[in-house]
Amino acid sequence: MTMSEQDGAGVSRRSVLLSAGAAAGMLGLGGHSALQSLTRDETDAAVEGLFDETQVLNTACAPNCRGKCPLNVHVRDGQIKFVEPQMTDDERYRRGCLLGQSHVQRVYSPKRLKYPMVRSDWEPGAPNPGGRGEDAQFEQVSWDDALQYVADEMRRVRSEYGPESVFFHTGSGDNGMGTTIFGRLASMFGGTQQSWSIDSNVGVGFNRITGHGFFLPPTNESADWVNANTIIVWGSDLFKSQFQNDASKVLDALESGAKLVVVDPVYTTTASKADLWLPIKPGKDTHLALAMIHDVLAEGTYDDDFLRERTTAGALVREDTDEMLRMRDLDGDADDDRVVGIHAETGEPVPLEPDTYAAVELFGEYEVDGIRTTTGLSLLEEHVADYSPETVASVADLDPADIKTAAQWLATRGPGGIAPSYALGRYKYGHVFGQTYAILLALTGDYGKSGTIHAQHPSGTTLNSGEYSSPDGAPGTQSLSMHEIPAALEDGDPFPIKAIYGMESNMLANQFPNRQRWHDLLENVDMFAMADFHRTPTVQHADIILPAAHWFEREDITDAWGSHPHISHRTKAHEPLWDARDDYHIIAELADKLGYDELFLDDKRAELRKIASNDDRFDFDELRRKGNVRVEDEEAGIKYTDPFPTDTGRIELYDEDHPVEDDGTVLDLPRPIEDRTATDHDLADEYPLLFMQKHSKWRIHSQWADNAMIRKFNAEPTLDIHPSDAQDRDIDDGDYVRVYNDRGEVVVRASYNEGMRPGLINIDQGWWTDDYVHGSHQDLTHMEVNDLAPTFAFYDVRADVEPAPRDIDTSKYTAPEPSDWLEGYPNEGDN
Amino acid sequence: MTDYGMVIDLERCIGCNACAVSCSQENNVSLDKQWNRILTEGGDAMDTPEGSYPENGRDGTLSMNHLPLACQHCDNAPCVKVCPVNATYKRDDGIVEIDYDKCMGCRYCMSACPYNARVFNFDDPKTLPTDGTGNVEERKQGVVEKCTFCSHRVKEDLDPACTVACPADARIFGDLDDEESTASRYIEKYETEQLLDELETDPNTYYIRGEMSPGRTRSGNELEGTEKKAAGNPNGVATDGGDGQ
Repeated sequence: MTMSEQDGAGVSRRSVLLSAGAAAGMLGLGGHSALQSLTRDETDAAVEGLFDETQVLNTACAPNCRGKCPLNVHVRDGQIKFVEPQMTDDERYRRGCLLGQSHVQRVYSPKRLKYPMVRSDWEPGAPNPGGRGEDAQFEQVSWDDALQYVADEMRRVRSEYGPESVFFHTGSGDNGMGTTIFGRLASMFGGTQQSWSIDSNVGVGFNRITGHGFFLPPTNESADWVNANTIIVWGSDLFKSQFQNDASKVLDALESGAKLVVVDPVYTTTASKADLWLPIKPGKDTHLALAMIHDVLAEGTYDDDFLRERTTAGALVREDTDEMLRMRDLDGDADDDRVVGIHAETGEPVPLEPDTYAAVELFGEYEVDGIRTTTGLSLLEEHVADYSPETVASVADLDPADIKTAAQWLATRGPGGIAPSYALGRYKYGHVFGQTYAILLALTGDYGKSGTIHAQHPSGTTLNSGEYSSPDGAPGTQSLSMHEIPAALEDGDPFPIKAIYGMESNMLANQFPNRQRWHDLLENVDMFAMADFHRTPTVQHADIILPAAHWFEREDITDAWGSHPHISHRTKAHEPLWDARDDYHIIAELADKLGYDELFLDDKRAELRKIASNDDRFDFDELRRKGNVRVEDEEAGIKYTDPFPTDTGRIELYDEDHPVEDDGTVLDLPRPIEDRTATDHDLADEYPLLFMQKHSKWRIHSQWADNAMIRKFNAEPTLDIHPSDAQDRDIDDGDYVRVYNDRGEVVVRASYNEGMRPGLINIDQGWWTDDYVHGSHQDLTHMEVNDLAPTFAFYDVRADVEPAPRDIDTSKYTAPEPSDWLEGYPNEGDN
Repeated sequence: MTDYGMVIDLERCIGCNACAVSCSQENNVSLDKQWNRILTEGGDAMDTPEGSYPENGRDGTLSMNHLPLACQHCDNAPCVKVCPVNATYKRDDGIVEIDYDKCMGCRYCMSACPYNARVFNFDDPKTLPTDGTGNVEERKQGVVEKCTFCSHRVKEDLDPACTVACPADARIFGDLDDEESTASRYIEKYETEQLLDELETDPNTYYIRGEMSPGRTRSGNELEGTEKKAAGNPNGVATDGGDGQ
């Protein structure tokens, strides 16, 4: 903080305090001004005794934030009263966030599903798919009837179309054993399951270079982050999303002197903590990484020992074939496919072994046995000549000195790294960024050491469930990537999908891009069943609704992929409310009705014990007692210590496979490709604004959207817009606006935000359709994907904004009635 | 003597609201009220900066900080002075507390408090579940209420709920009379301020600005210097996987 800012702080701080009433007003749900009666109560104000009546049980939170935080639940009078972070086996990982600590209001949400229901105008053989959606009416049925409908339709579809025409759909709604158990039934039935076309972009590009990554690549466990000297957070507001539960780790690193660089077009909470903020123009991330490579090479601050030991920097690339020279090209041994470098002292060609220092030349052109070659690093150096910090600064709207500072901090301050988020992969060609930063970190030697960082969430641990999900005699499942499902639904390509059973997901009618298109696609399905505990828009879109138990209402095991090194246990805090059931028992009864009566045990705990027996790192009874057990060795917390799983066992700077993208770009070396972020894109004139949907701290995907505690702070969806963009369109702060493009529209309140880059607008991700006065943010998005790492490009979207039509009904938020996330919860006695 | 106080490291605070939520849950605060608010020092809306966006990557003036704000537990508390029925009082251990039996709802204290830290129950509290949350009794309609430093927890040698909840380790609760307490040491070592110190309210809440501290380095629930506790409940955690319910 500068002196001038400090001087001003007293004034602004005071005004903040005095304006606190305004903040309280935002919390208000229509407070009355009349003083109510002041009857005195005889209750002693002193609080005693409640702790004695309260039992504390272990459980775990596990939506797809990757936090997977072990939690304690306080239960009194049969009700959940309080949730707190549970002490972890390794105490450094004790944590939780505002969402984990708001499960009380999820369990008792007015939007809990209470009874099995069937859409009134649905019946087997006459599904009336046009009746689905927001206006659909439902009738209560018994569990037996509901599951019989599901089973009968699954059997019918299997016999008419084949087993793969039944889609066993799960999202990322929970990380208990639900998906594992569901997979066992799917495998026995022979149905279709989905693989991912979300968040699989950057990791796939990184994989081309290092052999690691599909989702974000592995990174050291978060307790090691304190040892980083430079942390470049790229396109992530990690103090707000995904990593906030591990915020202390980054803060400890900063307290110890690490430099924090934030690359983000938005001035975020994380940017506000940065030593250096690079307010990049959207879509220019690969350009920037190339400029940093340029600077590291130009300044000579690359790690030459690392390059010689663990990369193909010195490997020779043939000019005639654009492939790496192999020993077989030289000595005639046809099986010797080791790549070749030039020994710096002898000048002789020598083989490069995995993870073995080779004193080879890093730069230069060499003729070997009559073959003209160039080192991989020289090809890279030549390639990045077009991406000087000065050139890229003008493209990305940055200052060249800042680019150099970031590059040199990374290169010269010791172990550190880059923590990209999934946001980069929400631009169509995000995988090229993955390729580029993998190379940049190779130049700076930031792999396999304490303090190196490669992703914004650590690897965590995964439960080994052995062959549980593919039992003996099971035909197994078919797999379709998410982006391939539309063709299956619409054209029967490669096979039709005619029945869907979904759980732990709000994707199909709310979260997938181009929402209206999915509504149309789903009309091809005869039976759509959803199990959930809340009435999400996807549940509302189903034919058969199966009320599931909340996580705290069932015993379960959770692992911690993408997070921390513990396996956790969930204790059932109380029975599922109303007629809700544990997903396990729903699936087991469905299996019974499908004729697989031996597939699941009646006793879920015995089933969990069976699953857990596949993992010899922990004992199930010990886990139940302790709540969580650290199962990963400390040494395993440092990633990339083994030879890289590439052909050469090294990081391959030059990609001799020459992958080609859909526009013809060859990616032997990283070349920026842009879709809608390009300033000369076809849609740029008509839709001048780039639309993104940031992950906020208030939801994990669409979960918690109906949570009364969260809505207290974040009551309504808003459009974040720079005041200059708003004023150009005659939009005042707080006005309702229409955001639109050639696919659809959504109406929300505009919120001026000086931290938004002009030209970029945002609506936070995860709001339910019901929460908008009109439309949905997913009505703006599209399903176009790249060739090499097909991933929905949620942020690669153009739109424009105008004042909302005058007749738009905003009473949902502007009328004084209490809000519907509070109303409707029945009083005691009804549960 | 004991003089409880709070140090909040604003360099560590990420404005995540975990403390705000945990406070409301533990203290059964009505869903239309908030004892512990996370204010944004910046733009008009939550989590937005003040200043202007940089051009050509430089020369912007954006700045944003978060300021968690609840009762400051002042030594010279204006609320205590104005209460006509002595319902609000400063305890010997530094905590400013309200005797809800005595409070008659005149709200003089709310006018007197320069930190806007108090709320008034115009209506019956709205909670989910309707029976309330947390480990305190429900407060009736017609009384003023505010942060108690979780005195019901402190009594059991537990840190306040907000302090345990903070994923940034930004809150340090402790005895300001004990020179060795982390809170006292940080106040000594780091640049701290008491809000609106010109009003001479002398709060027991101190904010670190400038150099970041190591924060609350303990992971447990217990008050500093007391026996380790696995849960925010003196009875501990059931270790039978729930069989004993």
